[in-house]
Amino acid sequence: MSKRLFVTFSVLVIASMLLAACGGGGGAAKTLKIVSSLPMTGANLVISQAIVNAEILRLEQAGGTACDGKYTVIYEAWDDASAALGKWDPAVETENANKAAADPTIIAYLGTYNSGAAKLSIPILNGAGPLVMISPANTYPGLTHAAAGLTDPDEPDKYYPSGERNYARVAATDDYQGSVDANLMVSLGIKTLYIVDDNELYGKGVADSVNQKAAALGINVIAQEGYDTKAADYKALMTKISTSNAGGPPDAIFIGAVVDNNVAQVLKDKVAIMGDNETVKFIGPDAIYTGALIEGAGADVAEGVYASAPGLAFKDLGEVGKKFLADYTARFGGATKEPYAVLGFDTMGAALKAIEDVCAAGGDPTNRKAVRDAVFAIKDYDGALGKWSFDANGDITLLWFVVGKVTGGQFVEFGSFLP
Amino acid sequence: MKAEIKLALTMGLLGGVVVFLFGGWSVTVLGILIGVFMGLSIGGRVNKKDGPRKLALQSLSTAGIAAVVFIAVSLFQNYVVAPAGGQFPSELYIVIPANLIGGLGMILFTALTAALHGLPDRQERLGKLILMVVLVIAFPFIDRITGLHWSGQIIFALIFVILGLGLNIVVGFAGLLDFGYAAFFAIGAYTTGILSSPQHHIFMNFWLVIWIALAMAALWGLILGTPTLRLRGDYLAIVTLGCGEMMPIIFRNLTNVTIKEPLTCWIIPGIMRLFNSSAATKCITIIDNLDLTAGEKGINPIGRPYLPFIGEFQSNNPIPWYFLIILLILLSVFLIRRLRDGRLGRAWMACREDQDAAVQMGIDPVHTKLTAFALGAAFSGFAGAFYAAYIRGIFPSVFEFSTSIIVLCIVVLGGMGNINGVILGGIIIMGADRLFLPALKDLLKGLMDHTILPALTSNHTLQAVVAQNANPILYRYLLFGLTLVIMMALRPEGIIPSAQIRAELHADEETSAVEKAVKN
Amino acid sequence: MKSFFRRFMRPIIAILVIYLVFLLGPIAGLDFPIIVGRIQESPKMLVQFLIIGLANGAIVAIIALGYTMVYGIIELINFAHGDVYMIGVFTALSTLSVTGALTTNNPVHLVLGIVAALVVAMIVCASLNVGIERLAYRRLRNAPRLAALISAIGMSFIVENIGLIWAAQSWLVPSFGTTGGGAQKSFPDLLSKIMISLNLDPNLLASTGLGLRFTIKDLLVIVLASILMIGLRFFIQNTRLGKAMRATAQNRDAAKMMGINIDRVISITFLIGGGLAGAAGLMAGLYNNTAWWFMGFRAGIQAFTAAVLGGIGNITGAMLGGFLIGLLAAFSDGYMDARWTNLWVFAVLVLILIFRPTGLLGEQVGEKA
Repeated sequence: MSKRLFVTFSVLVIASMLLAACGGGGGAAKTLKIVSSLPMTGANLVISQAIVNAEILRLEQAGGTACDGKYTVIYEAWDDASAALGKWDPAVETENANKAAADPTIIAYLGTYNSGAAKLSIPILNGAGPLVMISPANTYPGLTHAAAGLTDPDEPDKYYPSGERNYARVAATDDYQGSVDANLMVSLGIKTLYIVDDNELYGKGVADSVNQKAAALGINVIAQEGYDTKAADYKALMTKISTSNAGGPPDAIFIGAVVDNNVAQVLKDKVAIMGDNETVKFIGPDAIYTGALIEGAGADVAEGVYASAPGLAFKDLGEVGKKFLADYTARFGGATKEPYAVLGFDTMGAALKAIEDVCAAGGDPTNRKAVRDAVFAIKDYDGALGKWSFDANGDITLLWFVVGKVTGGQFVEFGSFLP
Repeated sequence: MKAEIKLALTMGLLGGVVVFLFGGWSVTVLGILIGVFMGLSIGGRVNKKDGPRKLALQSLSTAGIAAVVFIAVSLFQNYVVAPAGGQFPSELYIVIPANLIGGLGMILFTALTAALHGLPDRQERLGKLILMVVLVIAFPFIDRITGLHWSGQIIFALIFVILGLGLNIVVGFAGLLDFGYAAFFAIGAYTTGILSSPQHHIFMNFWLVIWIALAMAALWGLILGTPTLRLRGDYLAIVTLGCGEMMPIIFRNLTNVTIKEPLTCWIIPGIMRLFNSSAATKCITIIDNLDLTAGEKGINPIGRPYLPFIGEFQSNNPIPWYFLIILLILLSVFLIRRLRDGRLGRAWMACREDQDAAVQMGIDPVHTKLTAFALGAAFSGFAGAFYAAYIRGIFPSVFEFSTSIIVLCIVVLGGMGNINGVILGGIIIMGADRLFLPALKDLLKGLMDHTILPALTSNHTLQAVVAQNANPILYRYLLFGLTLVIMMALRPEGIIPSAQIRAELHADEETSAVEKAVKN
Repeated sequence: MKSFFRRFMRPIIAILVIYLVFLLGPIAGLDFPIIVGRIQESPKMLVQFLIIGLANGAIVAIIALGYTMVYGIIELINFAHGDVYMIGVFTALSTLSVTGALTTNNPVHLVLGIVAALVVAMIVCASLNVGIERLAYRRLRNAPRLAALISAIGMSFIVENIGLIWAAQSWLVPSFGTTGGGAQKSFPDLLSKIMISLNLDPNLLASTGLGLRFTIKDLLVIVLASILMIGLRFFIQNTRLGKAMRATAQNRDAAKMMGINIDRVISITFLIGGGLAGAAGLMAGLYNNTAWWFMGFRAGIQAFTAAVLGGIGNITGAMLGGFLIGLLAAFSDGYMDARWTNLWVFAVLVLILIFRPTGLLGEQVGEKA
């Protein structure tokens, strides 16, 4: 009895294995998968959701297919945050990258939002093909190029063990953003500046850059100081700052932080101690250019806050960009105010263009290396941001920044700036 | 017979639930695992004299029922739930072999495991051991072939199993409540990070660093334990909590360490100034602006283990990592067993049960507790070193309070003082946290978007409200909390209790348990 | 020779410790020349930090009262207490939102809204705290302390999660906005609004021209905290129920024999503690203007530290500890380094527990564990 059972079992197993092997070869090749890895938790959710929506929209506009319908393109939005940390989690980001590396149908990895997360996933994906990674939001310069005084000496090469670049980004980097913010401060007539940062790769990086560039333009940077991102209040810190400029407050405070790191509370206590944002200006980078800041601090407190972000002001966008905004409103039932939506749209656009280019050249878009080469070969792409290219480092050639000012409870674009 | 049907239904459904969430090839893996488990549980109730052959045949009916239930759930998932969630059902060429192998695997392994019970004791133990070894070895390969990608999460769960084993020494064996265990995990990880990364241009070999990490964690266990261990139970818990909270702050902020010798830098010049002397001493700077831990930026990339033939371990190949962590667990279990059964282990338990009596017997309580604290910390050094190398980067926020509590959850759920219980607890808790909840979230989200919400209401606001709250990830803390509260209220001794702990916790209810424990 | 050592050992160790603090302290901001320099630079600021520290300490102190009462009676660290306070903040914010106080400019409406928020927050938190005791602690009263403490940690996680979910319900409370449960929520500065709508300056010291800030908010939290503490002390010293509580604290079995309903007394203790946490929640919301699901953990630890510092089980001690912790945090932020403030708070906790577990005002408690 049991012998017969065993024979039957073996036969069935072998038969089904064969079946699986045959089927496996035929069906899977038709599907290309693109994934994104962004923190879908907390205050960052507003930005991440806008990016994801824009990416979905771009794929839908391409009909969800590539190469004249030869390939179905599937998009999955992964979350690299965990509830335990309430923000991006190294373990989750590593796992996402490993998952992407192991799934042969994935040919592009759109992410990350946090530069610290990119540091972990770039090397993993670098060893997997390499699988190309396009970030809509990382602005830490060291991921792609060295910047004097802002990056470590062994950056960026330490992220690319295979020696081949696999990371590109559509966001202009912090070394440029620092110049934009410094120029902005000069034009606002700021003479003295106090810088606070959240100690993170991104926040401290952009704060360092502003420190460097502002000092070069003759602004007196009183100090740069890290703050405790989980404190209940910052009244004492703000009191200290309020007397730091020879007994009085500085002209402006620059904060290098992501909005999740209690920026709303810092702003509230700053306003409580030093008055509104006209008296002592409050300036921040792209990660506070979001409605979440205004919601967290309250519209009256946030009034007058300046923030810069890579990309163009919506009013300065070209035809493709304007059309994207209109389409976004139509598709998701509400207009977006997040500058990152535009970058998200072009991230997906770049990935899809690379696939089309591979097909057009007679290549195989399931080949990760081919797609990587095509991404790095993108020249004069007509995206929502305007006409742009990737340089050899994977940086976008378009260095525009939009500067916004909170007016009447929302960020109103102040204009577009070049570094 | 009735009990067997109940078991079959429970097991079939239990496996079904997992398959329900993952679909695809998970049915195969689960089938085999449930089969083994079912065989083990049947084995507990059979008459040994029946012999392996008869036992195997007896178990077939149970296994058959379970397999039918199991496959029914799996098919239901594939053809009803998956489309309802907006996913394509798996193709036939996957469904048929996956379910066939899963169902038959379940029957076969149930029979096999049940048959083992019929063997003489020694052979039974040997057979079970071989079965376990084969399963543990085969798992990552099956995982790879079936494309489930569970290995990464399992490795993560196993890291926490080591942490649980270490904490178990402190909480389970010695009865000291430690709320700051993640601090030692951090020390292990940061030792590894500092000694094998470009941060300080030190690139030590992983096989060496892991022992240094272990020693460092143990050393810090001694340093933190020496002043605190004479405190009473709940105060000790709070002190460890405080230390656990201080550790991430320290690692976060040691980014610009400057140490100046105070005498020459300000004390002597200050005194000079008091006497209006203009003579100045030269200020000695011992360390100037050293970035020790890189703060929130994290240390990255950290060196990885290297072995001949395998080469450097890569992150996209989990198999070597899997075997490394299994090896570390085996080593830990071996060491912990030896410790527990030795003189020291008995001293720990004596102190836990009744310190005064233990002192009368000539046990030095401080020394005993201190060794427990240091040895417990040492194992988290293992886990920390492995974690740092595996993730390749370390960040202070990983080592905060919730990590300590998750490890505590593992120990409490599995059974304080019981090694097997802790391993089981670790796999359950981390499996739930890393595999089930995310899968459940995706399933629910798909179902909500495609089926439930449109059927429920056409009101967009209400839809958004329901969708937002039907996210199991949101309830993660709630689940951990409930685990602790419910376990404490209903079964404080854990799933697999150690006899002594049970006796202790139910002292007022059943004195007979104590007698039983003594006899054992 | 031996006596020589015995005589000079302590001073030598003391000097070594002081030297080490001087040597390593600056890493964590404790740099005496800089601190002294800053104080000399602007002595006025010292007063300002004193005000900030006292006001922040007042909130810590009220939460600490809840810890100390519960510990005094059943010797349990009610870990969930800090999170009950967080629920208080959210209850108050929700009540204000529902009553329309967040959007009005009418001072009467505002005051009524705040009073309603106070009442609702106290009731909700008191019931929650009693519920926690009933569910998680009562059946463990005779179990080993370890079990109750683990249960308390579990309860703390549960309550935190409730806050997280609550903060996501923007359909219920529109002011929560679109950012989901994890983000900080704005708690508008209603007290200043009342003052402004009455044409008064919220800064009570503005007219002195000293450049110091002492706002209506600071005044309110300090006064309210003091009133609550005095009231509580009076209640425990002079009422029948207070006597019953003290009796229960001293010897539960004896109290039972005297006809005191232990369960009821303990429930009432949790009720009062919860009510205080609710009041602290409203005050913290009005003072710091933020509601966040995780705020309870940090506040809870600080409050617990305060309770231990003052001598756990001692009402006045909790108050004193609260003010001291507030001052420590303010001075660390102002004169040392804001990044390290929390380290100093925890360091105080650890050092006090190691070297003087009875706290500043506590009495010697025997080993009962």
